[in-house]
Amino acid sequence: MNKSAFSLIEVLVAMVIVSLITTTGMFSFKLAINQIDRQSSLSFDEPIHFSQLKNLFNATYFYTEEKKEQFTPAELFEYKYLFRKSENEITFVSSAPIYSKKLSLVNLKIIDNKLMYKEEEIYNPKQDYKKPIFLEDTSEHELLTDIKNAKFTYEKPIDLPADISSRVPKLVKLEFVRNDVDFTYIFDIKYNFYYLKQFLKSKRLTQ
Amino acid sequence: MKPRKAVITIEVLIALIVMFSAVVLTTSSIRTLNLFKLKKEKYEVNYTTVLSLKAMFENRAFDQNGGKFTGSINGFSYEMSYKLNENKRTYVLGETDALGGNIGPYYIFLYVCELKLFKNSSYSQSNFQILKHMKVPVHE
Repeated sequence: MNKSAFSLIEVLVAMVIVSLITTTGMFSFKLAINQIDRQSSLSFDEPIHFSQLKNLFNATYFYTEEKKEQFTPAELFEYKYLFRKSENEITFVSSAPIYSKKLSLVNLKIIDNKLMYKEEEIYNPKQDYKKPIFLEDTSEHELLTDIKNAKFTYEKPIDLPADISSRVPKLVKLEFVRNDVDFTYIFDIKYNFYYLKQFLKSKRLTQ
Repeated sequence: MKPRKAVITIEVLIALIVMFSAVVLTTSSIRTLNLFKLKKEKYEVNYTTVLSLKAMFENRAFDQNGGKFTGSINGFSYEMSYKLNENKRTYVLGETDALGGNIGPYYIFLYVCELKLFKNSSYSQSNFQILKHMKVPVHE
């Protein structure tokens, strides 16, 4: 039998197939969009963690100035501007820690292409505020991931007394590689004028 | 069955519909992915880069006659131009209540900065202000 055209049933079958393909395609497309939306909201994590780090460094706090009468000269010398720094790790005191609302000793450490963070309150009953340390149950949190060849570098302040500038940098740079692109996150430390004034005052008195 | 020599109209139409649907879906997906990529870049890389650069410029010496910094960071090339907006001489620096006195006369400079970030053919612009201070020389 020679066919010159499709029969009604063939057209109907073709229409059903086309609608099935379209429906499945649209459904997959909707799923893909939802996935993108979800990832899009996840991508906000990085700026949030960047802001948390920015606030953390901005609020570097030289707490011993408040209670310096209670420190021996040797202790004061060691803890006056508590800021221990290396290529892989920084420990300092911040008045804006990420999880607590109280003055805390904070630590940032680069391990296995990740930036880990921990904090411990200075005025904790279990803590000696004169020699703050991280307790055994201090938990570590992951702040940044996928940071290859990461390291901290530092830049000294241009116009501050040597007493501070030799110990505390003005800029902290986190350098790393991600997707073959070199990245540098830069954070600045806001020196409170109070400490500058105290420094200048003590200098004037000794002169 | 005798072989068919040509396609009939309905077959062409069905093929066109299927192709049209495929093209529409692919184009929409690519467009959405590009939008997502741009959005991610804007809120992730751009945000962290602008704030990093601002922190860096705050620690750079500025010329009172204005100037420009250029360089590259985080896959962007940048151009930051600044000019002095206002400068005042003050005898009080910082918060006066807690300080218990003055630490001397200072010049305060307010600079207006314009930062442009370039990547491929596109660029984004950010504006911000930076405050600098300088101790007034003794002979003044």
